[in-house]
Amino acid sequence: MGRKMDQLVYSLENSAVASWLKYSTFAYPAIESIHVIGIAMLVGTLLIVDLRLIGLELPGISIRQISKEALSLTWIGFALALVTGLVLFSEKAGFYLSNFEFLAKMGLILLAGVNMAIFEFITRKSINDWDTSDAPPITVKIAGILSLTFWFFVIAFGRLIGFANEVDPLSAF
Amino acid sequence: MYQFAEWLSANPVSIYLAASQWYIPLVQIVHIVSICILFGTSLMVYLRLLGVIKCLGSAQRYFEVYSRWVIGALIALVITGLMLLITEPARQLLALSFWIKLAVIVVTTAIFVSLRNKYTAGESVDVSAGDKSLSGVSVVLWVAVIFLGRFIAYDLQIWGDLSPSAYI
Repeated sequence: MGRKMDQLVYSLENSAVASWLKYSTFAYPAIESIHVIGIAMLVGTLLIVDLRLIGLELPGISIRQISKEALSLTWIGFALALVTGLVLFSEKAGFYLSNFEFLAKMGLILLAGVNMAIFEFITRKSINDWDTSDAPPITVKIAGILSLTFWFFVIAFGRLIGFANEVDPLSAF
Repeated sequence: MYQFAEWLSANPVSIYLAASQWYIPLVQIVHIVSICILFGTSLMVYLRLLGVIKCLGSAQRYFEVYSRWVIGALIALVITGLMLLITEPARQLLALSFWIKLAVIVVTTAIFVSLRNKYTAGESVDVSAGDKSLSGVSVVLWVAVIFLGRFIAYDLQIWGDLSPSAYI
């Protein structure tokens, strides 16, 4: 890590938020719980849209409508997970930045974001042609499959962070 | 309870699974994915009952679409929960959070099933104020279940002398 990064890590780990997490009885478990609630809300509602995009669920239902309904909850979940994730990160920033599982999780979130952006700005332009179709075009299905895959592994690597000191993640592959 | 936990953890299957590097992480991942499915899909039903969303139409339609996901996720949670219990019985059985979590799950599931039976039977088209309240309470209870699930790892720290693990 560079000097500026070291300084950033030091200030985060010595911030008021990090101290609060370290010394409060309830803060860490409570923030972790809200992080899980955020992820559950994010993935649980996004899953509905992804399965509709793939053509496995909600036949005949407008993709535009179900997206509008479910994705507002997805974004609330994302905001909850992001804010609590930043708070948890501050407590052990140095550990997380050198942790394979954490970096893999961040990389997968980035990939999920790129997949969503491609869908929103390119694939979705022709939505009038497949909005209520039970067999959406392959590009739409691929967006749904990729989204499900990325978020599944975000959860998997997120959980594996807790086992980081006990298990070598690469030994599984 | 402590003796039961000791006995359970001493059987060959528990010893074999607990020694596996990947059993507990993998089962926990499936458990969390199931929580996501349960929370996300049940939230859609509760928000319909509360009148916040209605893109699919009636409350009956929401139950028809999402019930199998909610019930399927609940079954997966029970199975993976038991799979975790046999490898870490003391951690779970001696945690107050675990027992409160179980009680809350039973109550919330009973509310969901009764609402589902009522609305899928076509008895009611409009959602009563009482059912709206039950929906709001259910969301709070599922949130509590997630908190309690996380609190199992910190049981003594959170509950102090109220935690059964304080007496071993």
